[in-house]
Amino acid sequence: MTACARFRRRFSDIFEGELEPKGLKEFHRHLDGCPTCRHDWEQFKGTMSALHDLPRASLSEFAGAKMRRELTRQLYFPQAESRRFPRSAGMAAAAMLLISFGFVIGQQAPPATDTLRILQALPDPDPEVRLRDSRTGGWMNVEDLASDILRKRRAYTLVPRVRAPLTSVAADLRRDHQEIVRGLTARGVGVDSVQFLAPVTVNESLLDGPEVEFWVQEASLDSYR
Amino acid sequence: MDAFDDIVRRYQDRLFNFCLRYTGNPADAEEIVQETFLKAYRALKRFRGDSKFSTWLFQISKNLCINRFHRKRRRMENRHVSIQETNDDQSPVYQLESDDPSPQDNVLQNELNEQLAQAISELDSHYRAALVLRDVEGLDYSEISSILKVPVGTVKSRIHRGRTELQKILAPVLDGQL
Repeated sequence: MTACARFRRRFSDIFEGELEPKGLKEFHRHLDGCPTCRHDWEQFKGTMSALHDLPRASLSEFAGAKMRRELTRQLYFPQAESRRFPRSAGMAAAAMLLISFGFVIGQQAPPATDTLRILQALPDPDPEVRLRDSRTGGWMNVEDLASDILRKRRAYTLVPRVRAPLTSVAADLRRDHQEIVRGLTARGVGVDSVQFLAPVTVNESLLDGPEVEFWVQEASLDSYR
Repeated sequence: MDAFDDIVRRYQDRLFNFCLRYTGNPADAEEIVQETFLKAYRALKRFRGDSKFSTWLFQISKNLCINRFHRKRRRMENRHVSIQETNDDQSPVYQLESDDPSPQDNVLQNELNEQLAQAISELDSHYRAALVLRDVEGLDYSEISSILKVPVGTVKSRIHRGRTELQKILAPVLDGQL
């Protein structure tokens, strides 16, 4: 191996200060007599300098917040992930089409007795689930929410408000989430009518009851996009 | 504040920087960081504490970067890859730190940075991971060795090869500056 090749193979070691003093002296002597290696060494140092000057990229505040929101949603409400308005709108359109079709050919859809039986067999929702009407500030239960949804034909968002570290109430959140979904389904409300948003941690003094409550808001179409 | 949220805030930028330099694509980097945290959270019980927590996170990110790279290469052969650099609201996904040099310096530096970032993303994936962890993230050899699960000697050789490859790619630009 030529001296040039030998030194070029050690450019990184030299740059990192890992070459022993004797070798380093030899290297500089070689550079003095070898313009090609001198040029390559300067180029190598230029590469290293550019690498070290490469600015650090960080997530923008918006992107960071969006990511943390998404993480919370996926970690605490994995099932809520696929609930989006477009699918709901699509299903509603399909249902309308089916109903219209039924009218046109003069037939009612057969009663879904199996479905009814299953729904009736479901236990009542846990009375512990606390829902708070964001307009009035008053408490409501899943039944109230279901009849509100059916009466107004609106979509709703449920924002869990917790006053303890999320990890310590994760099980409660999941249980409540399941209870709400089950309660709504049992009353004939499609789960597409509600969207669970990421939990919000609130100051202890702002919650007088349980560690977890769900803030019920009428959804604007924007919140489903 | 939730402990996991704390962890996310503490490491999100380091992981994002690594993933961005590895993939060359901000949207991919953002997704990989998110996936890293999800995997870390779900596997937290398996973290044995025999390496630094950050090393473990980098390990997960690196594996996800490699998976994505292979998946993408298979899928996108002969196709164009569009790079989305803005959020839905058109704000940029990421921001770069700057020491605020003069506008002219800024233009030249930006040009070099862009070429460098492009050159890094074209490196062999083995060299790229080692080089980014060392020269961009500033990790020491033993930590990189744990992340890549290869001996320190291999780490050093990959870093050197990566640097030499970069030097070749950047030679025309660097010669203009020398």
